Amino acid sequence: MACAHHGSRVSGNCPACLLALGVMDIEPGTILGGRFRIAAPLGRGGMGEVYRADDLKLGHAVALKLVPASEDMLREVRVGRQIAHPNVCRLYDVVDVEEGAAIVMEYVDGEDLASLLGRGPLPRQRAMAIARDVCAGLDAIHEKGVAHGDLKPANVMIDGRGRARITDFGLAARGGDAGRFGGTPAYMAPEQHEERRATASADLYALGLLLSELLPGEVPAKRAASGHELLAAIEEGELAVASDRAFRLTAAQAWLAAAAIALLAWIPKTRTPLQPRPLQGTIYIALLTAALAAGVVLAWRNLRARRVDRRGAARAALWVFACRALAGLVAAPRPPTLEAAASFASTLLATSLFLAAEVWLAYVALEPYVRRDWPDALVGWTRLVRGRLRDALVGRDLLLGVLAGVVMRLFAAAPATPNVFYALARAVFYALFALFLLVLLRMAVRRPWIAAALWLVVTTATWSRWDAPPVEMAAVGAEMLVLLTVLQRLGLLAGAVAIFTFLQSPATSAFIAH
Amino acid sequence: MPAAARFQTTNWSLVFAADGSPDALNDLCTRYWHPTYAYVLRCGFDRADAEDLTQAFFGRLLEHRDFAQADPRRGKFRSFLLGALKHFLSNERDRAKAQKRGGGLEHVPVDDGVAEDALTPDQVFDKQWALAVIDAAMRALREAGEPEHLMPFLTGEQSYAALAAERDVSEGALRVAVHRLRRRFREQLRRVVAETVDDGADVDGEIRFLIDAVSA
Repeated sequence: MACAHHGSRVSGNCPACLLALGVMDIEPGTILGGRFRIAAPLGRGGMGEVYRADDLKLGHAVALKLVPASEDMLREVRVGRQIAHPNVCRLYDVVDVEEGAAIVMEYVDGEDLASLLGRGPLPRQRAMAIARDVCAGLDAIHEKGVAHGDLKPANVMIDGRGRARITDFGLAARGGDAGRFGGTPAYMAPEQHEERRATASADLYALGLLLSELLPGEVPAKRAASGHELLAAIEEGELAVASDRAFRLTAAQAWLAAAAIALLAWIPKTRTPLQPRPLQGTIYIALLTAALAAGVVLAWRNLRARRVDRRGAARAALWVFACRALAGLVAAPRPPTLEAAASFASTLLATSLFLAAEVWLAYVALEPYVRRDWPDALVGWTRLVRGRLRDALVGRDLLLGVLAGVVMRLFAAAPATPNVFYALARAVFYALFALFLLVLLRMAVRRPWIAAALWLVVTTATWSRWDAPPVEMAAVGAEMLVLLTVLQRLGLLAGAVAIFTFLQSPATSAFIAH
Repeated sequence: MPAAARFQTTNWSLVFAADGSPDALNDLCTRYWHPTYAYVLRCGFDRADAEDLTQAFFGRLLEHRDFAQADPRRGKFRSFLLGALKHFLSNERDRAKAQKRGGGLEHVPVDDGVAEDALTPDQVFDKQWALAVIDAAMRALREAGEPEHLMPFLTGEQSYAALAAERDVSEGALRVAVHRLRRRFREQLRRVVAETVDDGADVDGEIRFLIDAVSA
């Protein structure tokens, strides 16, 4: 267990811990509090020495963390005692002893993950089992509204049967509680350097690093001496290396890599735990590749035949670009250095341009066919982008789109997208994707009802978990049915508004609750 | 020579006594030069004036071994030195320029970071004092020939596996060596602290105070 203090180091050591060596040296056999016989030192935590001890009253082994009696210590015990989970180390009690106070914890007969990883890469099965355990443990902690604040391999104990347990709640915070600031710089999320408090989102970032360490090969966390160095490593494309490595890994390890990368997002709100969806991933990649190839061919033909609404395509692309870029700017924490700011800006520009290019390509490729075979689908959209806000058809699409979004939200268990610009960019992107997929299917099968059925199957399979229970799958199917109805009856604008309303779940949920 | 004999503890009040060794007094002042300088700097003096004032303060301390309002016969050296320093600065503050007097003291290199700390002068003094105590204990370990490569393991934040592989020794042997090193460091740390308190029983309390000071 490593310490949580910061500041200068003396020969690589934390000064507070060095000084603690002068007062925390208890010989084996010493009986503390008339009840605990010290057996052996286990390590040094953020606030004190941890010993293995025998509880003479109850006759079992415990881990004793000796700490100065303080409000911090009481908070640690209060927070830790709430969580009872096989993958979280139990906190039993706090007792007064001759040395001050002792937190009585579950004794895990094993070693910490940092030591285990120090001996070399873990076998795939074992790494995956540990990853599952840590995710389950952290999930249990977050379910209680607690942020751990110092998740790292040294705070994960592996017992004799290979089961992992998260330990050390010395820096944990509950709810909006700021907690005691600390942590290990290399595992701290970028925003923690400014906000200086434990959050569930920061825990997810640390989880991302921990998961990446379970993969074979070097990871940024092992090389970075500080959070800023780590940030620089991420910004300089170290994670891209990790991403490339994913192609040489097994499917399970690749998911682990993808999960780690998703959690290491710089923007806290976009740090979303990945669900294992290998089937959906394959379908999505196959669809995307086919759509891109078909899109390029169709766009080329349309451009040569001069039947492209260039202005409409440019407006749609510009809209998506602006929303995506604004979303990034609004959600991002202040970059710590000028270099980080420049790097972030270029990444944001590239991402926004890529999204806009996709929209432009799809629009150029398919809009002429929609205009020819299904002109009603684009009327509302076209009038809106031309600024006719008081048009009756635009008003109808907006109102019915919102209503459809509220209905879709009734079925949904999907997480919120609190950033309004993200929701706007994604709404336009998804609506275009959904509409053009429908058009492609209509062109392919010629019968509208078969195309609609195929559309429903493909979108439901793509947006729900492959191992989801039938009820959940049916709920996603119902959402997609509403969207399909909106697209078919009202067109692109109403579809985009419905998706936007659906994604803005806090506002929508509040509306539904009301 | 046994360690206990090599590192006999001399209480600071004995060093300050009229018949105390000038070398021992010089060593003691040199050890705590940096906290003193950091305090003066934090009081708002520029670097050049802070250095001059610190040198002048120790020069006077070595010359007279006493200050009017501080009694070296009892209490902690830390409290005595800070009290004496405040008294000295209150007298010196009105002077246009501090006189340069050094008394043959060794001039310790300065950590520029002390001026930027968002701490009060007293907190800066206590924090730098804690670091000076650690530094003295570490220096004693090095002078006793303790292996430098084990120093980063003192607080148990490093992985043994890499060093064991590099040095071709077992992790078990490494753990035993580090355990011994910690024990020796503990002895040195307690000796250094014991020199600055008037009662041996205060050592634990003083160390706990320094832990709080360095964590501020």
